[in-house]
Formats: sequence, structure tokens, C-alpha cells
Amino acid sequence: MPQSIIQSRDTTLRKGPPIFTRENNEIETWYRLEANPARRKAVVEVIGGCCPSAKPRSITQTYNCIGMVFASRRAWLDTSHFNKILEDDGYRQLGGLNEAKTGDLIIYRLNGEFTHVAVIINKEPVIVGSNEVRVWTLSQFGFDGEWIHPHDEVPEYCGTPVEYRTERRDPV
Amino acid sequence: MNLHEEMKAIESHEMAVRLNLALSLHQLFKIAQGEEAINSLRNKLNDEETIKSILLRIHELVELSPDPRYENPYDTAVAVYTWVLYTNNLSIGRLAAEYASRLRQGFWAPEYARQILVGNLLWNGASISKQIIQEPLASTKTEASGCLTMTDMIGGRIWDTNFFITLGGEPTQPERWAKPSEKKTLISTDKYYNPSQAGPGVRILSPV
Repeated sequence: MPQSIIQSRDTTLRKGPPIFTRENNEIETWYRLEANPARRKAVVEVIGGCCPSAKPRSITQTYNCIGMVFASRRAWLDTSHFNKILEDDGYRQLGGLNEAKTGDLIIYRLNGEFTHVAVIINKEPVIVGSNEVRVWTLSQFGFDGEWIHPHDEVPEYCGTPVEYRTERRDPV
Repeated sequence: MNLHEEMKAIESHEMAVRLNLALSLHQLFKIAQGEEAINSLRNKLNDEETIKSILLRIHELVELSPDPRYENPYDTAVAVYTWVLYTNNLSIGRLAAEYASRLRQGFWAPEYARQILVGNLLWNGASISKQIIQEPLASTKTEASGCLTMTDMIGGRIWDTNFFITLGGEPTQPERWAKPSEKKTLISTDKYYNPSQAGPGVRILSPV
């Protein structure tokens, strides 16, 4: 058995650039190779099929949803770091979607487990003058590319929106 | 579905896209549990020929040379094949993992194989974490003075099993945890393990 396989994750996955939280804690990131063109074409068909309002922004698998939000799309991050980043970076929980603004985060869970994070990019009334709003978000669906989509239209396995977070600091 | 249809579906780009919605191996296999072709294949694992065919197919896929610019297109398929075999039979699963660990430009499959080979997935999705313990329960300390503990899919600690790893990194078969009252147990001709010093979990063996 090749010893390199069983020693550590470093030997099977290539380490990405380190990032640091606001509290100066280092977060490991990892590289992933790009998918071939046929796979990327299939992404558009499969995701487009289950999320008809979603529009692809960039089809790449080199980062995940957390990597898009916290690592500037350079690499992917393990989900185990997610809560630490939120805590260190001062993300506080909002009372609900009505309190969320552009730039805030929506966190998705499936059976209580963290499955996805998206960034709000727009809130607009469903009908001009009405209180009902449609929230548009930008997110990377797993490793299946970046999509612009209504916040409640995601693939089944990305879960449902359950938490809204912001690091906004309002003027005193 | 017949075996050919199942394999075709598991190796398709569409299947890979759905599985790549996962953020972790744990989530990948949860998604896999909802896939018809994968469940159909799992239901055939009482047939020896099916198991041989899957092992052979893993071997074939591992031997292919992928385009160096891209990730191996059979990465998720090899991970799924390894998982179905491992969850059906530990020994066959380890053999599959040894093949899968050699997959070039892979992502999920080599990582899953690595975890199996260090005993990280004793049962359907168990995992190892390193805990820093002042006085490790393990028979020998690791470099970081830590000790590996084995947990199940939901993070609960597995209390009744020991899984040994030699200093060379070679995993051994899992064994039931011996009660502390039992005497020193001979593991092999040159390796001893004193059960009174340890609770269940992953242990590093060393010559005494």
C-alpha cells in the first residue's frame, strides 16, 4: 500500500493559499482540478433543469460555496471551518429575511446539517409597490458552478434557507 | 435496471453533477443514497459476479489516463463503486479502496480510499479525528501527542472497537475493545497492546 495515501490529506489533495479570519486564525484551503468541458456542459443542463430561474455565472468546480464567499474563488474550504469563520468575522444572525440586505449571507441546511451558503445580490418587489419581495442570490452550488438564483430556488441537496447573517456595521 | 445500465448511469456526467453538490464525502454518500441506479446496484451485491464486475470496473477506470488538464471524469464513479463495496463488505471494500487510492487526478475517490485505508470509515461512514489529550489513551503517542478517536457518521464516538494502525501506517483489521481488566494481549509476534491502557478507538501500534 502506498504510504503517501494514508498519511494525510495533503498527499491526496493539494493545499491552496491560506486565508485568515479577522481574529487572525488560519483557515486551510484546497485546490481542485477543473472539470472537463463535457462535465461543465452537463452542469448547465442538470442544474438548469432543476432550477429553471437560475442563471449560470461561471461554471467551474475549483471552489465550493464557502470558497466563493470567503476565499475569493481561489480554492475550496472544508465545511468544518464555516462556523469558526462566521464567529471570527463577526457575522451576527438576523431576525429574518426581511432584515437582510444586499451582501448578507443566507445559510441553508438539510436535516439540520449545513449544506450551502449564498450571498444576497438583490431584493426587489414581486409586484411594484407590494411588500412581497423576491431575493436574488449568487452562490456556488456545491462544486457545480456559480449561479444567480432566487434564494429559495436551489437544488434539493443544497437544503432550505434557514439562517440570515450579516457582518454589517451600522453608522453610530 | 441491469448492471450495464447501472454502471452507465453511475459513470455519467449527469450523475457526477448531482453528486458534486456535496460539500463533503458524508454528503456525497447521502446524495448517492437517493440515486436509483446506485440503489439498484447495491441491491445486487449478494451476487459474487456483480462484486467481481465492480472491482474489475474500478481497476479499469483507475488504469485509464485522464486528460492532464482536467480532473478524472470517473472520480465520482470510482468513489461510489468503492462505497457500495465497502458498505457491503469491509474486506472487499478495502481491496476496492486500494485500487481507488491509485486513481489519478481524482478528488473524492482517492480521499475516500485514504480514509478507508486508515480505518476512517469502519462502518458506513465513520470518521477519525485527532484529539489532543494530555495523556493519550493510545499505546503509543503520535507526533503531536494526540490520539485518534473513531466516530460514526453523526460524530458519536464508537466505544466498543479498536482499530490499529502500525507505525508504518498499515491498518489492521478492527477488533472488539478488550476490557481494562484483561491482561496484555499479543497482537502479532513483535507488537503488543496493553488493553488496560486504552479505551476503544484508533490506536497506533509500536514494537514493545
